[in-house]
Amino acid sequence: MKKDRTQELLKQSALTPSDDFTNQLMQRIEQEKPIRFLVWHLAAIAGGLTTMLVFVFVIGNQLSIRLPGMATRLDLPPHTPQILLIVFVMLALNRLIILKKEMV
Amino acid sequence: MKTNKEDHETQLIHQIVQGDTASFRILVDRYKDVAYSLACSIIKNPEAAEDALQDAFVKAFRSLPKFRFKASFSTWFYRIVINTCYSTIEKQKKQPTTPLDNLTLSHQSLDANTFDLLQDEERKAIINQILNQLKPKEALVLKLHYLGELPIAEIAKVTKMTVANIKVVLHRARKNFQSALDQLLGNEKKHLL
Repeated sequence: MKKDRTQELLKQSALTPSDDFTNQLMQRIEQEKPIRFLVWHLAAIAGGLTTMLVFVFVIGNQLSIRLPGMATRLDLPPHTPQILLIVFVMLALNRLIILKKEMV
Repeated sequence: MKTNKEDHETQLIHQIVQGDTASFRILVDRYKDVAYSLACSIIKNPEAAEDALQDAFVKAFRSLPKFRFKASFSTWFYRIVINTCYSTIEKQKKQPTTPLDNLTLSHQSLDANTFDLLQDEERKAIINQILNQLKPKEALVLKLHYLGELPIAEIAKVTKMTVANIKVVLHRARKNFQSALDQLLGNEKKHLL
């Protein structure tokens, strides 16, 4: 049998899924969007929190920072890391509330 | 060198990754028929094949941001379809499957008709009956080559077989396809299909 004859016959054999296949699939795909949205937001919040904790526990003890090119040192007020942490937690909570609203 | 189709696909994929999920419909419409034929050659149950294909498309959508354009989209996607189908078979191994009833046609009914009067659907059913008689690997390679229009090197990537092996399977599949066609229709009527 010639190759092109096989091809011709095979082309006639192409099966098609049901009529609503694409619509059903696109509905599933649309549902994927919020999940992706949620995953990215949670990842951003977790990343931010980790950075903040590192700042608080590793660098946070040094409240006097020497700025490059300046003669004086910058003295941060006491409890600055803790204040920053509280602000971040508030922002993260706010973000989670917005997320919850978006997901409904 | 990339073809216009590949360029267009690259652009489409970038749009989808950037959040334009509606563009995914274009890819679905482009690949669903060939992919469904492939799925049916692995899973001998139309409903299960359709479900597996849906899962394959969803997996492809989720993995699109990781697609690095090293292979063509079709090669990458058919690989996902095949993997998903084999996973489905693994899951359903203990469950009984129904054959492709709507695609089978009895030999007796063929004898009663002249083949030049066959409608498209009947022709399709006969050819699919023949394909179902082949080994799944042979039917898969035939469909990838002739329906999916993939070159042998790309089929090797999709099926994880060697190029030499693909050539052997393709040759054997063509031969078996012909002999199954002869058996089913008889030599004198074959040309009428």
